[in-house]
Amino acid sequence: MTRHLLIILIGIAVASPCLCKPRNTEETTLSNPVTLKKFADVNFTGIEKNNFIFEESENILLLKRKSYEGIDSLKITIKNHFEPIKAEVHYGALQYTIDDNPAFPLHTSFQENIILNKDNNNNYDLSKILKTKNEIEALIINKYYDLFLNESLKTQKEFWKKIAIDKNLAECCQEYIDKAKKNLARQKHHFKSFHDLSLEPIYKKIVLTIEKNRKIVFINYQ
Amino acid sequence: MPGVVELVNSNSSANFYGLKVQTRKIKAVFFAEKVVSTDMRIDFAPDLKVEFKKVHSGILGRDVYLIVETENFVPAGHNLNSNARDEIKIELKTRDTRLTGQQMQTLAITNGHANTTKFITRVGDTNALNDINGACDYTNLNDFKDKAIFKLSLRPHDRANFNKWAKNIKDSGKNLPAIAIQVSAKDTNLESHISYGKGNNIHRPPYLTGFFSLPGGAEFTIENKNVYEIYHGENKFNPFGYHTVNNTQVKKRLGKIASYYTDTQNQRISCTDDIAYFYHDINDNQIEMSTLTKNRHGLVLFPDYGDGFGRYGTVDAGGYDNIIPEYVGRGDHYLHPITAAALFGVTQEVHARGWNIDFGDMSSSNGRDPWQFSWVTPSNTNTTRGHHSGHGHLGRRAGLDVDFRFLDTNGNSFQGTSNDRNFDDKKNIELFQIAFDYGFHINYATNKNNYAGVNPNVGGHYDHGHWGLGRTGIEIII
Repeated sequence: MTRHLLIILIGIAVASPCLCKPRNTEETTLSNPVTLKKFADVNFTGIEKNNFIFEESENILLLKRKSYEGIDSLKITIKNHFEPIKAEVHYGALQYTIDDNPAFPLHTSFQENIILNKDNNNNYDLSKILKTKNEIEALIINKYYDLFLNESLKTQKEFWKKIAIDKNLAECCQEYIDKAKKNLARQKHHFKSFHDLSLEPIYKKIVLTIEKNRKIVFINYQ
Repeated sequence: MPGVVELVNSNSSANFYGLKVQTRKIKAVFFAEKVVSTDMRIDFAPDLKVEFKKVHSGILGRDVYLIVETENFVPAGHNLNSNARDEIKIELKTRDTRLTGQQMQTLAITNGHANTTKFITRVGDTNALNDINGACDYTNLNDFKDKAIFKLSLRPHDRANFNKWAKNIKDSGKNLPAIAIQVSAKDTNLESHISYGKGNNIHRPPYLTGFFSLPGGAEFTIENKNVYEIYHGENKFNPFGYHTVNNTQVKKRLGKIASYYTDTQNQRISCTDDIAYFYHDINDNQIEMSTLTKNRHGLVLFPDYGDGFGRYGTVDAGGYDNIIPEYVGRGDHYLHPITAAALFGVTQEVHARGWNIDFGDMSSSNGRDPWQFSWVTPSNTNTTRGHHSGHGHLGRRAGLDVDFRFLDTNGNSFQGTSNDRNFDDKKNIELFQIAFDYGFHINYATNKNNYAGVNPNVGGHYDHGHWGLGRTGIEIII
């Protein structure tokens, strides 16, 4: 298993446009604050508690996503904490294949380090540091395209080979076999964009360092 | 003539030198379902016509029409040529002992406010055809000038009696209880019992009390089923109340009849696992969508194909997924019964538009995410292996989520992404709004900001849409 991890250190705060937009559905604001022990001084708003698994250890609070909903609207308040916090945002890409198989993350990723300041309401607002999909894609195209291209093509080749010979699919889903044959016939130079590669830019993980080794880690995709 | 019951007008001379001067007749009585047909008038307004189709069975709790066909049913003292019509009284009676323990017992059923045993209406009165606002759009009401129309709810008003009937029906097994109808003119004591089945009387004078057969010899029987009533958003006959969606009062579209009784420990005992789904279209035609059977996890298997919908993808085998880890049930088309009701509503509206939608993964048979061991995923990704997270959430969202392929410019689901040229944004916006209106409020279509219920930030949904049932207002009918 090859893992490409690039680290980019950006020592200044970057205020990117928010990925999120109010959704046309029920209010998702957390009605009851999460009850934590080691991290009792930390309060989360803007997420639905039931959509996450909270795991506490001595110095690390882990939030694992268990539904589709991410932390795009997450706001954090920390009692008696006035300093900016350090945020590591790990970006990557989802690989699409066939619509009966959920898109999955490639291993290739890169990282940005950002300083997150409090806003006027004493919140650390994560939506202010997350890049939009277009911004992530632009960054990848400019700097890391070959890494994503190589892993995507390798992964797809392996996948489409299996599809092309799957006898069960021949009975129910000829369209997948047709798609496999079409994709296997494509050459590397045909893939010039994320769209060509059937990739979607994502953030995979966010690590917030509150102080020294005390961290909050949000896992979006493993 | 079988099936005809005649009542002599008490105020007239029945016979004069052997000549029958006047009779008024009850020609037939039957339970019925309303059928509405539409034509386009010359001014392009819809021309709605109503008629009734005989039915020979009903479900405890559901509404049914009862039609009495008459002839010369003028009130006493009126001229023979009068357009006035007399009133008719009906009572429902047990035809056997299976429903209540007594034969020929008058049934007390709800009139919407309380239990009642007698229903009276005037022949030719079409109030039973009015919508909930008291209006009537049908253009052929004159067809009913010699008919008495009753709209009845086949249930006691109170849950306690409903439970007794439900248990008795359950105990009767396949030999279902039958119901007779007693019909009489309001101003005469002469009564006739009319039932579906063999009667003892010959249908000619002198008129005896007792049972008279109706054509066909069928009995009207009553059975237990759980029921979901599903209403088109613009159906004017929807009797349900309102619930709040996004701080707005919205009329409920789904209603439920739960078939159970309670034991001595006050525990609910289900009478049947069968769930019947009925859709009421914009003109109030009733369409029986399907009867699905609830499995031991409380889920139903949604059909693969039907009007306006199909399926795509493989049927996942399930098994033990040691990565998650969890035991995954078989299949991928299982839904919570409420989700199935909402989805049937969506499919009917899709069908009415001439579209066709294909559904993918829902939940597995035990409510977990659909999955199968041999599913093709690249060897360098061991995090998902085809485990469709989000369609079960380790049992926390069992049967609440549905995947589907987007609509193309022809209104058909297609294999592709929302970036493709044949993706029809307008149709898909409308499709999401339809789904939202039936209760799918937790929806995904990546980067689609203006789609109802959609969080556009959620990834993984460029090549299919996802609907998740939110807070759905369900009217408990009983």
